[in-house]
Amino acid sequence: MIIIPGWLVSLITFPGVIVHEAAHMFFCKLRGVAVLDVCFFRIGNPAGYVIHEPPREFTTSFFISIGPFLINSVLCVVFCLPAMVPVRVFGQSDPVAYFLIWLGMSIGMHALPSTGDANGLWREARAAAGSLHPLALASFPLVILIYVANGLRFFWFDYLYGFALGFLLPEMLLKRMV
Amino acid sequence: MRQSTCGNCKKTVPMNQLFTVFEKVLCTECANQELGGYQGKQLAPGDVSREVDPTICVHCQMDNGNEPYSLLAGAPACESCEAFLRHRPYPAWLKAAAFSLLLLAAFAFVHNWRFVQAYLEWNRGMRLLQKGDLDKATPLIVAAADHVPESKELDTSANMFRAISLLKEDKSREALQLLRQCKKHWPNNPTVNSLLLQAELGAAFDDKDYDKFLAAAQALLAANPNDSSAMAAVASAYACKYAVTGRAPFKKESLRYLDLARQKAPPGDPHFRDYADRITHRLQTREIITREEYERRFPPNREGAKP
Repeated sequence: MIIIPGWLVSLITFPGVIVHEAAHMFFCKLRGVAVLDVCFFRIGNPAGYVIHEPPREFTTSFFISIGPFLINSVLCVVFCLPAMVPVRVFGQSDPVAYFLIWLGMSIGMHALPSTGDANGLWREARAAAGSLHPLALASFPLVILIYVANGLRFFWFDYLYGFALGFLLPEMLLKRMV
Repeated sequence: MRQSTCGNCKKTVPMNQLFTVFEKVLCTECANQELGGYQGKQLAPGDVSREVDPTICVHCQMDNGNEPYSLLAGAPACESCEAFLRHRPYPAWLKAAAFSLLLLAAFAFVHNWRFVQAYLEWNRGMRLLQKGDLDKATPLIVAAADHVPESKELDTSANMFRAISLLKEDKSREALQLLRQCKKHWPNNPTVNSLLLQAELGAAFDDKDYDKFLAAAQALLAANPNDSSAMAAVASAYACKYAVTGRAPFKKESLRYLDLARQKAPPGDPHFRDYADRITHRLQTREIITREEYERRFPPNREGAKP
């Protein structure tokens, strides 16, 4: 097992960190939540952050926490799709395609919500669960999944997720189009 | 701006310059004195906090006189700061980068569309091949190769399927040229080697070189010892030799291989039945005619007309 320092992984895949924070900020703006401070990328832990006012509703908290998962996943497919077929299927060595694959995979790798995101979601879900908010109830298993996924980062789960999303999903979709 | 009094020196100072240190409200100087003895020691959260003047915006320091501002995340904020924070714009570099990269992805998508088309055509072709529909599969595979001319694999595959179609049309010489190109790229591919032998025996038949026809048929059978078509090809070659020389051993060998082929052929296979009928006709008449001529004389729907 190759262990690479987190800061180095963040540096190599910095577009993913930027998109992750931009996605948090996007959902804050969408739901009218004030963003008090934002750092899109830095060498440190965390590699980026968004500090926002506490949301008034749980739905807003949910989307701010899960936002990067949605946006990073979609952008991973968008950037990998045009490059996947020429490189993976036809073995073309096109620098633009390689650049798009690096970009897409970097973004896909940072799709998983962080443990910080999971902590916030857990706290908010516990508060909202009393009123039997369906999204809050659905969030409990989701938070567990996020913790598990973060634990599996040690085994390159984030990279595997990016690979599955950027390479395997488009291939599967194209096969279904036949 | 609101003023307040230090709990230690009793000096009146702006509220923003006061601190709560261990629950005592102190001015900056008194707070520093109080904390002087704590240097290097661990302070708990809440031991020290700054007093917040609700009439001063924490973000831009705008003074609202004696009127408190509304709170944003627990801190007073003026209207313009609140509006800015609620709709904080993305930095220009981020917007420019996002626009450029999405444009690049769109360009790459258009530029690489031919690869996607080729991939779809190839998969459709393979699916049709699995269903045994070579006639519909071949144009798709050829189209895929045309979309990605730089792919040697795809070009070779297209040539192989073109050659199979040509073999079906009895155009062995044209098929032979294509298969020789395939052989250069795939020297050890058993399918190509087998097709090459079929093309060679077809070309030898067209040239009336029946010794070469027999040698190619025997090589094909050696490569595919359980294949009924290869056995029938040997039977056909011996039938040709018999037709030309009239020597009985050739007829005997032809009938022997035809019998072996019949045992291996799928029951009721119409292609094998037609081939066997042509070989039998050759043995009975000692006349060597092409499949086209045979079908002209004995149309497939006139069963009774066949010898």
